[in-house]
Amino acid sequence: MRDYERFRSILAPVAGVRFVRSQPGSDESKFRPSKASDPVDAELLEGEFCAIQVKDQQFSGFTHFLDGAQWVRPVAYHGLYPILFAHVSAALCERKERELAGPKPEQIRTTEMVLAPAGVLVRDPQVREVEVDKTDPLTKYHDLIGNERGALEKELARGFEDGCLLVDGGIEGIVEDNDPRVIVGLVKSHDTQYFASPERVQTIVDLRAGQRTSAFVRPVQAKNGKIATSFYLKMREDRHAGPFFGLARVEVAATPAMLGRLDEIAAWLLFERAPASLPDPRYDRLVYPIHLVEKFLKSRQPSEAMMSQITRL
Amino acid sequence: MENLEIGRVIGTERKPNTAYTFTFWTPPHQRNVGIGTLVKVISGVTDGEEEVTYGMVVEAHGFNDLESPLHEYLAFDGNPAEKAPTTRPEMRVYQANVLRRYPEEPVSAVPIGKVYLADDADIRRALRTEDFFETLGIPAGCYGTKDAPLAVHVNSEFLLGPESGHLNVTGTSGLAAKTSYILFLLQSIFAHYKDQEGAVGDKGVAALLFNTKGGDLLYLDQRSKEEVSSLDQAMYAKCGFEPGPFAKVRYYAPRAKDGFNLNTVRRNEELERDNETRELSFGLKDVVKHAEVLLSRDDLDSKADGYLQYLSNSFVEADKAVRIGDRSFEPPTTIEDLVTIVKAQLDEAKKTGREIYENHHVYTMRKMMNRLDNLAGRFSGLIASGKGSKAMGPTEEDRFEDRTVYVVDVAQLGTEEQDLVFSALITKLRERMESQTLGVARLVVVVDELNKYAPSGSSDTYVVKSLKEIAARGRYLGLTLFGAQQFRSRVDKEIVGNAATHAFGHIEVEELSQPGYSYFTPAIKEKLGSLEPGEVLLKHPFFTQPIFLRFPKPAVMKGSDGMRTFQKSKEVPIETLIRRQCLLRGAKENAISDALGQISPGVENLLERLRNLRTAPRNADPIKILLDGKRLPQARPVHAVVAASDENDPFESGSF
Repeated sequence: MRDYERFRSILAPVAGVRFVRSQPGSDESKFRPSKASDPVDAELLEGEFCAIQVKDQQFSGFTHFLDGAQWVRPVAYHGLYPILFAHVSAALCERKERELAGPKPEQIRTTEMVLAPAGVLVRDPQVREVEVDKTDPLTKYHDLIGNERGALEKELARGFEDGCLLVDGGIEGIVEDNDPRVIVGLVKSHDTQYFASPERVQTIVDLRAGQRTSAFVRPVQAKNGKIATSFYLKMREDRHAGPFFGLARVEVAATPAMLGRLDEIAAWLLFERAPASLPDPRYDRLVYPIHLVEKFLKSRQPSEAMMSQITRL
Repeated sequence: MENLEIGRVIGTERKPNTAYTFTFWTPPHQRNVGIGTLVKVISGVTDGEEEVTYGMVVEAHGFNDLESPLHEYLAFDGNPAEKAPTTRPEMRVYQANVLRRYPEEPVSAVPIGKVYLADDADIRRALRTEDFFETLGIPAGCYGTKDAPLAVHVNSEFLLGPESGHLNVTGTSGLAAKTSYILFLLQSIFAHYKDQEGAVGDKGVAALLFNTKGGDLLYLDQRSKEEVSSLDQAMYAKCGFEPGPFAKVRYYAPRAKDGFNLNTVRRNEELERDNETRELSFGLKDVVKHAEVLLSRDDLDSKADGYLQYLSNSFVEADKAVRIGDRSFEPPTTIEDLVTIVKAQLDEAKKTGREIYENHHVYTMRKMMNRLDNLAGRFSGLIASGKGSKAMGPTEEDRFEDRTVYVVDVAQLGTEEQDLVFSALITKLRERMESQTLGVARLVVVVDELNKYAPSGSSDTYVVKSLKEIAARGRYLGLTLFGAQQFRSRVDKEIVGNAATHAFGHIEVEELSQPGYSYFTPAIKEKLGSLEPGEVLLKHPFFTQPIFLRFPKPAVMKGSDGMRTFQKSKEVPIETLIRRQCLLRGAKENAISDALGQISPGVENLLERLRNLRTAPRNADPIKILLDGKRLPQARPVHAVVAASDENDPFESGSF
């Protein structure tokens, strides 16, 4: 048997190192470092940056849920560059009396398109030409698909009026200045870090299940984007998992009204922990209604067999 | 029934649809679908005709998106009381067996399509009854919801013959599974049976039932004390006949120990006045023929059997006087007569100093004499004895009458006596069936407790042989067997297998675990194990799959109600019985008293007259019968006479 104990003895004495359980599909398994959005800490909105215990509440005010999905397959190659087929969709579902109904026809958006290097295919509304980067040809494809998905989500969100909407991901491009609607974004990934100082990072890492951080300003990220009020929320806890386990970041419109409702919204989100979205590996942050919207969307995605109509293979 | 779209057919690679089974889903709020529901799948249009598949739901599954129970446990922190803001979406997936398809060729896998609840016309098409329900249809129960029952017909030519025939009913005793269903079906048959077009010979249909316990079948001519429920009323209306008692019922019962009262709980003056109970008794020929039922196996060894056959051939079945030694004997009609003959043979053997008489050892003869002598005592109520005695009962009458129920009450008898009644009547029915003298085109014989009379794996007794014969050939000759039992797995396979129609009521789990039920899905078995009174699963040659039906409660008086309402009266003197018989036939009290005064008061003498009255037609003159019983046809009395000398008699010459 190999002696892995040796590796432990190297790591264990180092201050700040915490061992975590290896979990396929977790953020840790990607071992991708988060990047700080700014070399300085984000602006705080609730005084000192600290952990705040959210009051337990057996109620959730969310009435609508919005999510998007994408399904991509290479169906051909031109030279060394792939030509992709993409099915991108978004849906907004309503929850009534604890039952999440499937999206109404006007609450679902779908785009099916072919992505090909520029100049390869004849012009067609369903063809998206991509100026491929020779060093990283797929990144542009993915950006284009992601943008399309974002556009569909935003289109649906714009039509939302009554109720409280929970969006999977950030709300940039969805809420406007002084937007009176209750739209909450639940960000599960932590590619961007908003704090640089070790104390504040430690506050986030030390959050216990049911706690949130003080609110801060999430700066503008995209062109024509808006700032948002944000906080970290520890939805679940596993002391053997990595620091991101159960850690979500919540975004709301940067309005005084929403700033006053942060505890309430955090409590709603904590109540959404059941049922769990298992076996999805993101279950620690993925609330069940969003998981269901995703399922609705996936059920409408094409099957592998349907691709044979394109490839005839 | 509204034609509702309720779901869609699905077929997965792991569980594809086949030519005979398919899967479909419904939303959980679809409450009209369950085990036994008939559904229609519309999958397309071919040449302007809808492609339709009919099916019956045989299995049900419920799903939500939970992959592991542990996920739910974790989500709720192990606390089942914990609430969740969202319920998991749920669905039902049903498996259905194909009943019929249009077009019927090719027989291919059930295609993906929309699923609807079957409406009235669909049900007739699915069950293939649309062509005959108006002509040969016998309503066998109702399908559908309680609000909208629909009569389901069976084909009379496949229930009663001649195409196929016989019914076998399985059900737990006491849960209105067997007797109630058979009574309902008999009423339906009586209401709807039509003779075959252009048929010659006997017409109509009758039924013969055995009342084996309590008063279950003894008040079939009395209206039920319970109100007919609205559901039952609706089902009767759909089945096309009015709830009520049977119009024509004839009851038969053996004699009590006193030899003249009848041994039945139906012994009640009020009941007798409306519909008298008739006497049931067997003659010597029956006793000899069914000796195997009456005697133990030890008694009836091969030697004894041989001797009994000899007695039967030489004396019982003989049509002339026979001689024993120097004495001549008329053919015997009672056991006492036969015992006298055996005694004479033993005397003759003793006289000549031989141990063998007519190739039979005296020990065998003596043993048989003792056994026969005992029979008269053991079966005193059943075996005809005494002067002028004769066999009496439904099979002794000229003909069975149309739309009449014949009930033989054996509930008060012991097991051996019941066996005798059963085997003798079944045998006689078979004989009449073969001689085509039943009197009706179809006679339904209802035999409960087939477990007892025709158990599986037993040797072929006379009863089993008779039942097998009826099951195999009866449908051609007008005899239909409605057999019932609690444990189908323990009944002779040939008898069960020959039944074309099968009904299953509530069945216990132990019985359902037998191999004979393996072709039912677990869900069907579960449902069979929990069927309510008034529900059956019916299998009929026209139905590709057995279907669940409801049937209304027969509107006849229950045995327990009957026994409370018409309490059994005490035994009465023979004179009273004679007086009642005369009154039933319209005689005046004074005339009866005068006639009784003119005849000898001895019981034997009165018994002969009572017997004559009981077997006389209703319009016969009772006073005439009373005073002149001898004019009526009677069994010949036995006389031991000294034979006249015959010079050609080979026995006299000593050459023998």
